[in-house]
Amino acid sequence: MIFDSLEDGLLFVKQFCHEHSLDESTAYKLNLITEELITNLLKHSDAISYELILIKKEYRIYLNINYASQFFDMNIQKPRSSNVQNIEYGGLGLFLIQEMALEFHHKYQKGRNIFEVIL
Amino acid sequence: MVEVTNDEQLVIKLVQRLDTTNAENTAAIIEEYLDDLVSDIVIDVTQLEYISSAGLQVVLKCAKAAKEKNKNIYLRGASGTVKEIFQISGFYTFIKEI
Repeated sequence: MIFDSLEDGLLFVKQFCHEHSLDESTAYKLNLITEELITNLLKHSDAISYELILIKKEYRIYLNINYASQFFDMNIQKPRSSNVQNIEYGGLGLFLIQEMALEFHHKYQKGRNIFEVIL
Repeated sequence: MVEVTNDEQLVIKLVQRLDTTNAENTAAIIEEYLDDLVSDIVIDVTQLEYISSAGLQVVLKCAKAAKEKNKNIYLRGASGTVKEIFQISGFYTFIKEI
């Protein structure tokens, strides 16, 4: 599905959680990871829309968010400090995703940033 | 969203959700209290169901204000995934849980 706002993306996630009867903790994490990635792309890129794909396969949730923009350098926002009080805004979001996801990958293909998360 | 009482302690009660959509407004409400901070801060999250990094930044702002004014900051009522978020973010290194 293609979206252009945070609210629409989160509504899609909410419906997905409901349809698949996800437990509270998984639903929370899926919401948070989606919010962090969408916020990041809307604030720190020139993207005006994004594609959000959610798949549940057995016990795993596969999240893919991709958008057309310049290459997103993960290292720029990666926390450079172990002290959370020194972590910049976007860095804290990425840090949370890394901590909560089973897998978190980013690649850049054909002018699109592609974020893949497994929960 | 947020309820503030300023008596012996500055109690900031966060309710329901604190995320990208409302963090800025919440921070603006709290800011005037932080400017005139004369007591310790209690962040009450008993009724908080969801917090993201945008919400954590609001709490971080409170922690920085407390540190600047040489006051303590406490977290009250964290449970479930909300508590987990505070834990994995390292907030318990500078906020005491009560």
